[in-house]
Amino acid sequence: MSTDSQQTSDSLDPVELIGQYQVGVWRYLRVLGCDDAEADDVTQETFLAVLRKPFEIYSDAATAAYLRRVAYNLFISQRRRARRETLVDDVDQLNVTWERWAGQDNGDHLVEKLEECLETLSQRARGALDMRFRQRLRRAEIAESLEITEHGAKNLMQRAKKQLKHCVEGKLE
Amino acid sequence: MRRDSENPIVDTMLDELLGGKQPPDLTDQILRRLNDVAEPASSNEATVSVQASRPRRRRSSLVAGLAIAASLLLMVTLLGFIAARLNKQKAGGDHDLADKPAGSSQQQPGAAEDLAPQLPELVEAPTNLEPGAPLRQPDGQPGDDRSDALQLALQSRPTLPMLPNPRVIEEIDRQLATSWVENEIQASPPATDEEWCRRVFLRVIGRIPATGELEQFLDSEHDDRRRQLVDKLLEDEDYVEEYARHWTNIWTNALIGRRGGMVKGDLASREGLQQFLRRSLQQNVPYDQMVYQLVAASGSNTPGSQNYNGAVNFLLASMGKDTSLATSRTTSLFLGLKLQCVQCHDHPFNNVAQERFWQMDAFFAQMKAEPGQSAGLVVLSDTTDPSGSKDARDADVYYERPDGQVKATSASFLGQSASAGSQLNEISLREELALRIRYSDELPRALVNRIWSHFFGHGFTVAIDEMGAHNPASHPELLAALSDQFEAHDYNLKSLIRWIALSEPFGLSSQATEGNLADLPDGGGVPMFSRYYTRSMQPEEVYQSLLMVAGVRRPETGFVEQQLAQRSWLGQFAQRMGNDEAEEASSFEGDVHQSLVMMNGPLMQRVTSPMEEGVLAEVLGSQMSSEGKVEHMFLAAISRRPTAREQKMIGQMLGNSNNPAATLQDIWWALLNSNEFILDH
Repeated sequence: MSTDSQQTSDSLDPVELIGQYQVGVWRYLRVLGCDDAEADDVTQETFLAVLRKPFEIYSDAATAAYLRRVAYNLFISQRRRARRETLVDDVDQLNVTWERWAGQDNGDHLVEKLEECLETLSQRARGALDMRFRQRLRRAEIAESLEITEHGAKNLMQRAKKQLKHCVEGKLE
Repeated sequence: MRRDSENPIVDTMLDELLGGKQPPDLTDQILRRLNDVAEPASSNEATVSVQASRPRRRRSSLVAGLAIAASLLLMVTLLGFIAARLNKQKAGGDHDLADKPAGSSQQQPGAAEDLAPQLPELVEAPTNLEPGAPLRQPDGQPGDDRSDALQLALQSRPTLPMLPNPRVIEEIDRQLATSWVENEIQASPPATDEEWCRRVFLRVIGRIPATGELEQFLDSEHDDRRRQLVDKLLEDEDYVEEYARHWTNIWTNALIGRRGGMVKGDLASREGLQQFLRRSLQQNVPYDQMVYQLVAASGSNTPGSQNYNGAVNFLLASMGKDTSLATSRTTSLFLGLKLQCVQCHDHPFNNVAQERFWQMDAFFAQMKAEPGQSAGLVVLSDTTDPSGSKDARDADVYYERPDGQVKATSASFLGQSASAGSQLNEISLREELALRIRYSDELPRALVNRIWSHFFGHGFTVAIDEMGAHNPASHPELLAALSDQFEAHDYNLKSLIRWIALSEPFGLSSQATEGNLADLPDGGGVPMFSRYYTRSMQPEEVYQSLLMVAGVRRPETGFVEQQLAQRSWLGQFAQRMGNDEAEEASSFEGDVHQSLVMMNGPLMQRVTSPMEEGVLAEVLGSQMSSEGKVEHMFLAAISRRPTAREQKMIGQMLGNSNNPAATLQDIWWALLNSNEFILDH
């Protein structure tokens, strides 16, 4: 999709649009707090909403931002309807960070850099995260495994994530 | 797994990287759903929702059949009839759906369209900005696809269960009764029918009842005569004009003050705004639509001019050297958020930062007022960026922090940025603001609080335009329930008025008892609504009540002339304070000036003159007994019969008088100058 020659809905290929942006929208929704199923649903609703209106493409970044905005609004509406809490405190800040880290490529580069940064963590910290995310252990189980308190396990993982954040930031900016 | 709110991005990506939560390929599902709902015949129409397209398809097939069989005239007639039927069916269908429990999947057999998959709630753009006009854009053209898309994204309304009117009223009664028990307060006894009738006339149509109206109500033997009276005041053709006039007065004062659009040099036309409001109220336009029209309006200010749109006068009256007044009025009136003080600094009592005000203000960055071709004509529109490349998020406004630092910010609605990726030459920021207000949670809350305050003299919060954590509601659950129902009833103002007017607290006596002495909101306490709070009538209500006893309930002059006469009378009391909130000072609060006008002003002289039409002339010219005449005057002025003591004293005065007519005139004058006349109790 070219920035110079604007595409309209007449020439827009839905398959191309979905293919290019769905990963970014899905990941963004997960960051907002959706579980897998909810992210699947809202991603579909987002593209349906956008494709059922005439749509012009100015640039990849503008399209991605527009899709995220529609996704965000649908997500909020869904939460309101279900009377559920919206988990992100500062959406504007999150949007700025996401735009910086993942706005250009749906977050692929971010995943790649995060993988590299994981290697920089101590074995203990990496182990804790592995237990948490891969093995789905509860915090008490992680603490027991590492022979530390539950609070200690929490701090260990928090510090690890902070370190990852700084590392990714350094690699992406 | 509990989510890490401090590092949501890292947390989510770790879940993907380590937990294997990979993004799925949803292309097939999306395309399948897209194809399921696409219109086969017209690709352009594929953007219209399934629900919206139904009447069109049916209508066009009927048109084809009828074209062969009938003349053009017959066809047009039939089309009108069919369209009305279809609309009625659609309305009925919507109603049925609303009544079904959420998740109900019952379908009518044979209704092929109903088999279409459930889509996100899609509603066509409102079609009556100035009733009948399409969604407006900066260049005055009908709404474009981007604004439609924004609306689409915003309008996914929560499906709130709609309770029937009696259930809502029961809920008000139940919640307040509970709060009285919890606070060990005993409610006052019920008001008499006379008291209730008087106050319901005042609150709903803005004047006291005529003797005939009061007696008709008192003589009614219907069990639900109160409901019948409220329905009559709201729906009967006889009262539509008075209802619209009363609420036009209220909304005009709220929107632009008592002096707005009246002072030389004002950009706004008060007549224009009042015409817009009156039409909207007569047609009972849903409140959310009315607000949308006020915030998004473009056009000229004066009735009869080209591109006239009376709604523009709200913002025109709020434009000065900058748009800060427009911002503060918009947020306080429609959202119940008083941001005026954070214009200069962060809010001292809540978390609202100074930036929040200027983010709201940035939505007005495109707004401009230009002189029209004739004197007094002003056109409100939005300017656009001619280069066409500027992003809406770059429409920065600049403000100064208390430490002298100048900062820039861009449009953001309560923390939500304006549409990302939108180009300034394509989207009106004001329209976006109007949509965001329209679909906000704050809109119904602020309105319910305002109307409740109109009926009781006190809202659920101490200041009705300053809601928030620092100003908690006295009855948060009741406020939430009423707001939800107001929204579920499609922002129907008359429904809200009906619920409150027929509620138990509105029907309580204004007399405090030993059991509710603590319920003293005028003394700074939290209102418990355990009695009706006595207060002074609004000046407009006094004026209309005086006109009524002067026998001019329906003046022969037009609305504009009536308003000019009312304005001239009210002008004696209201003065602008000249501050940046355009506040006004009223001397209609029991001071000497008010007393003099009430005692000796031209209107009072007219009302108490036996030579003029009105109650006094009617009484003096009647064959009623002296007691009957006195009783009639009491009913006309203070909506009750004289007590035995009053009858006795007046009987003595009349017995000792050489000129009974002059004595009756004095009594009439005294009644109209009594506290009981001027108080809503």
